[in-house]
Order: sequence, then C-alpha cells, then structure tokens
Amino acid sequence: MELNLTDDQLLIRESAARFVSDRGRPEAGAVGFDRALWGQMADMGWLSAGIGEEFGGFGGPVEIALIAEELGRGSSAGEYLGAAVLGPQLLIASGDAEARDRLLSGIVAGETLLAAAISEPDAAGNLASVSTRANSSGAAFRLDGTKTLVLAGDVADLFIVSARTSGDSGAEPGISLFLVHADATGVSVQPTPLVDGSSAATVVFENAEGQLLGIDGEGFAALTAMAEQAIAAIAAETVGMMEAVAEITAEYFRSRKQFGMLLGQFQVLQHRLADMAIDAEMGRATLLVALATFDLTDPRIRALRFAGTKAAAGEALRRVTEAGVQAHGGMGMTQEYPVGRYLQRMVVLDAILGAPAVHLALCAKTLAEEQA
Amino acid sequence: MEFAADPEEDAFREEIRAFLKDHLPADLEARGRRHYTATREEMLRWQSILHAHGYGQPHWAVEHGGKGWTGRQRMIFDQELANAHAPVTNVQGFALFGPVLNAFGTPEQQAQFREPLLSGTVVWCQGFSEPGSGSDLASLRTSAVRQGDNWVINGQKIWTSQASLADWIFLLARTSSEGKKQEGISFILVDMKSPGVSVRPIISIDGQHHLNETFFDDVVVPADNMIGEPGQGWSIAKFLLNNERLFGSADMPALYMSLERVMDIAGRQKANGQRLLDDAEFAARVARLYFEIAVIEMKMIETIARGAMSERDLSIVGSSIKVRATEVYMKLTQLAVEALGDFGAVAFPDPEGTAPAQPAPGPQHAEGIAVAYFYSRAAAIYGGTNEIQRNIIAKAKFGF
Repeated sequence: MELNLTDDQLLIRESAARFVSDRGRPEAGAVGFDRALWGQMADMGWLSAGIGEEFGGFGGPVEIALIAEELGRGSSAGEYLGAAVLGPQLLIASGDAEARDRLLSGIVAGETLLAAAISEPDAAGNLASVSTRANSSGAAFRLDGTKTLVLAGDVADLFIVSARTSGDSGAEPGISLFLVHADATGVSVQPTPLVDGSSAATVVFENAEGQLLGIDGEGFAALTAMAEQAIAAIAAETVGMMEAVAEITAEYFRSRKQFGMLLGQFQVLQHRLADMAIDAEMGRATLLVALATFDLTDPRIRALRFAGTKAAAGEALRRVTEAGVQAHGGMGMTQEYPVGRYLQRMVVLDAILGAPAVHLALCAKTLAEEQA
Repeated sequence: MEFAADPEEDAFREEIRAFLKDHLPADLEARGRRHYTATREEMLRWQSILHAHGYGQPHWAVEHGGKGWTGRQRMIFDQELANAHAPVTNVQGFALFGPVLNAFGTPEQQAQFREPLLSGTVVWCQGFSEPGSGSDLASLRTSAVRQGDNWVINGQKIWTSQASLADWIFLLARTSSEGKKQEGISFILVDMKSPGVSVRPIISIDGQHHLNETFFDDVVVPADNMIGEPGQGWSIAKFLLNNERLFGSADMPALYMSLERVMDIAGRQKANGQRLLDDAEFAARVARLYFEIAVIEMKMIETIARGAMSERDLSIVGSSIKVRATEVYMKLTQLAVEALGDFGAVAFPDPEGTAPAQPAPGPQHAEGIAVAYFYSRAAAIYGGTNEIQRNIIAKAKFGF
C-alpha cells in the first residue's frame, strides 16, 4: 500500500483547493444546477478525472476523491457527484462499448449531461428494488415507471435508467440499464430541488423509448460498481465537509465572547470541537478503507466494506454537522451563516444510495452469515 | 496512491502464523481466549519463547536486539498474535520502558537491562501516577535526594499495574523543587527488592488484582540507576508517552479479541428462538464496531505511512485514535456482556485463580466476559483520560 499522492494527484488536489477558495461558498439560498460551474469543471478536466485511461480519461476513484473532498469543503459538490460521478460511472460500468465511445467525449467536455435514474420511491437505498419495467418492442424497449432523486435530473440531456425486463422488485437478476433521451416522448421531468439547493428531479416514464445498455437482465453488477464509486466519492466529500465544519466552528469560538470569555475557553465547547476533529480524522481513514477496497476481489468483502463506509461516513457527518449547528447557537439556525449548509448537504447525502441505517443492516447481515 | 496488497506482506503473515502454530503453548492459548490477567509465569514463558525465535521485540532496531521491522510489520505481528490468543506480554517493560532505555540509556545501562527484559526473565512496572497527581502528572511529590553515590527515594505511587509481579520499577521522582514543576523531575530505575519498597494491592472493579499502591520509604538507589540527567525526567516521560501515541493508543489486539468474543457469543446465544447475531438491532451494533476497527486499523496504516510527524500532528492523531479506539473497545466488551443474557450478571471467578468456582457457574464462553467489561473502563483512563485527550486535541489543532 502506498498512500502518498503522485505528482499528478497533488496537482489535482491543489487545483481543486484553489478553485474552491477562489470561488467561495455558494450564495446563501442558491438553488439549481450551476451551468457555469459545470463548464469550468469540464475546462479543468475534472470530468475525465474519474475515468480510466483505457476510456480516454486520466484517473479513477482516488482522483474523484481528491476533487470531491475539496468541493465538500466548499459545500459545493452537488453538481459534481450527480453529473460527474453517478451518470458517467454507470455508463462505463454498463460495459456497453458502443454507447460509451459515442457519449463519453461529449460528457467529459461538459456538452452532454448524463444523469443516473436508479432510485424509486420505496427503494430505501436498495438498488435491486426496481419496479420500473421495460418491454422490448422491436429493436428498442419501452419503459414505464417512476424514478426519484435523479441527481441533476432537471438539467440532464440523457438518463441511464434501471428497469426490469424480468423478475420481481428486489431480485438482482432481471434488471437492465437503458439510455433514454430527456426530451423523448413519454418522459416527464419534474424538478425537485433538494434541501441543500442542489438539483434533482422525479422522472416519470410512460411508454418511453429506451436503448438497452449492456446485457439484458444483467444490469445489477453495473449498478453496484457505480454505487461503489459514488460511496467513495461521498466518503471523500464527507471528509472535506467535516474538516470545514470543525474549522468554521473553531473560528466562531475564537471570535464570540459570552460571560466575558471566548467560547473557545469553555472546556465543554472545546470537547465538542475535539469530537468533530476526531470524526474528521477517522473520516479520512474511512475514505481510505473505501479506496483500498477497489483492489479487493471478493464481492462479499467489497459489499461489506462499501456498506460500512456509507454507514460510518454518514453517521459521522450527521454527528459533526448537527454539533456544528448547535455550537453556533442562534447563528447556526440562519440560512446566511455557512454552518447550516453542511447540515443541509448531510441530509441529501444520507438519502443518496440509502441512509446509514440501511447500510449498517447490510453489514450486519453479511457478518451474521459469516459467523456460522 | 496504491492500495494493492503487497505479496511480501502476505508471506510475512504466513511466517508469523507458522511460528504461532508451532510454538504457542496450548495452555497459554486456552487462557488467552479468556480475559483473566496473565500471570507472571505466563508472561515470562511466552516472552522467552518469542525471544528464542528472534521475536523478542522485533520492531526494535537491530542494534537494540530487534529486527528493525516496519510499523506495518508490527501491526501484522500484533494482529496474528491476537488472533492466535497469545498472552499479552509485559507492556510496561516493552512498550514503555524499553524504548526509553534504547534512546536514553547509557551503554552500561543498556547492557544491564535489555537482555533480561527481552529474554523474559524480568517484569517491569511503571511508577508515574500518585494519589495527588493523576492527569496533572507534573505535580508529583515523590522525592529523590542525593546522598553520596545514591538517590534516596520517599513517596507513594498509585495504579502501579503489575507491581506485585515486577522485579523493577521505572519511576518519576522530584530531584529539585526549583523552577517550573516539570524541571525538577527525574527518571529513576528501582529494584523492587530494595529495602523500603512495599506494595499494597488494589482490587479493581473487575475483581482482579493488577493495580497496586507502591510505597518508597528511604529507598536507597545507586546514582547509576538514573536514566538521563537530573531534571530530564519530564522530557523522557513525554518521549515515552509519544512513543505509544500510535500502537498503545489503538491497542489493536484488544479490539480484535473483543470483537471475536462478541461474534462468538452472539453466534451461540439464542434470543427469541434465533441466534442473537440474527437479531437485526443487535447485529447492527456489532457491525458498526466491526467497521470502526477496520477504520482504526487504516488510521494506523495511514499514520505509519506519513512517517515522521511534528509533535502537534502526532498529538492530534494519537489522541483521536485513543478516544475512538477506547470507545470501540468499551462498547465491544459491553456488547459481550449483554449478549450473555442472564449469565452476563453472574460472577465467574478466574478458573486458574486463587478461588476458582467448582463447577463453573455457566457456559465456558461466559468466563472472563464481565471481567473484560469492567477492566476495559481503564482504557479510557490510563495514559491520559479521554477528557484529557480531548483537551490535547482542542489545544493542538485549534489553539484552545
């Protein structure tokens, strides 16, 4: 194991950090997908950073993590996670070389926005919980169903949709992936702005035409591969967010006085801050656990460790962001003061791909099976 | 970054496993599966076996009798020993005193003390805390007064683990009351057989005897038994504590063993007609701790990979690991007790102890579980309480 960053990786981190500090945090109450920001990310090559060299990119999970962490610090990773990680990673994981070669160059150039439509109202984080159906109709398929929490779905040009060609909801076999144009007949996109101001949509498919990606009925493996990438990215964003909340809180403790003392002189508050720092320290190790898991081959261990990552990162982020708001007293309640943005983002990250409790239950089940 | 498994690491692990399979005595392994304190004989016998095979303290430098292993190798070694249920050896001697001896001891002191330590013939204990000096260690009052070629020591130490088993104690004593309180402290080695040394047991809440009060009444110690110079004791003590900021704070063996016990018990124990481990709520609590251990392990790997660190950074990382690892450890020992159900509340005397119960009052896997729960409370107290660790983090990281 070699944990030092390469020169190229150091450059990515540096440029991401500079970008975030130059840009500042988004305006209080800003809502929607920032197209200008998206163009800048494309210009800086960030949309290729999570794509392997064999597909024309220059990176992988570590590069994604470096960018996500810095964006998380600046509380502005909404666009990146949805449109640069989920969609493109699902396209690559689908194994459909034709679609990949046709679409990827436009995606990394920031010209085509591809969103992953992979969750449903009652999925609760289970990617196999797919009720949306696809029926073959000649060379194409027709899709019927509703997808929720489609990140960047309100601005996407294309969707990759998980839909069932056989079996019942909950079964891993029978799930297939389809490419659907946002402006196709039978696709209705209902924007659903999220609590952190980032952009998503509920997308309803009614007899909408879709192009099969990869092998019919074998889409679940690709969903899993995409989820692994996304969970690592979330763990990285979480590290940046936790460090930022701790630093913002420390800054507040250095400036605010009550009873003639700086808040930072109260030991009870020092300890709250120390707990945030501990979560941030361990959060970085959680991210490394996730990154190291990409090199493991046993699917059971992979599932266990990525689920553990989502659970641990989520629980830690919840602790830190809630404590951050509490530490600021009334100021923590305001839209204007930055600490609350991280709490809002935490709620969104919790919902994406399933809450910590869902993933903890997955780990628990695997462990119980292990102990024969 | 490169995360692929290192094949040399796997070969190394196999080497350790093979050694343990051939050389860990069955009676030590059986006892290691429970959580009763290792006896002096057990500690020394196991250490002599380790030493005979070159594993006396293999992460020490070659010139200090080790093999110069890397931190990663030490982690793997510790993990394999824990998985094999090998006894914990004399922590005070190896983890605390040994590195001080290697770094600050004169050639004569090193020649005198290292070999008996490594070969498993002596046990050491530590005399730092005093009744009035716990977290505020520098306020200690035990005195050492120079008389000719000797130091004469008077005072009292407390929480001296293993003092009743120990041949030697390394202690902090005040050799001057001038200047700052830290400046008058010295680091002295005392033969426990010296006239004037007396040990009084403190039975802890686990019902076991590892803690003691140790009294020094005009104890005469040769001047050669001081490590470093008079007044250097505080900086040596800081060196000692910093040395253990990583491995001592994490205490990975305790985590591995505690997790294994919880899994084992919850896999046997029935609740509502199913294994307790199949109860979703209980299993989720175990799973959380399982993953936390993987994270702490990774924090160790990450920290080792960073190499030399500033004292400030080491404080932040070390204290963070200490708080998190002890919290996980205490939750694991609590879950093990809870998993036992009714037998969690039953007292299981040490079957090899002075007053074993005949027959044992319940299933064998219940032995030592409550003892471990009570003992684990100490982990968040010794080496600086978790509250002190949080103070350290607030100061080092944020300047408060």
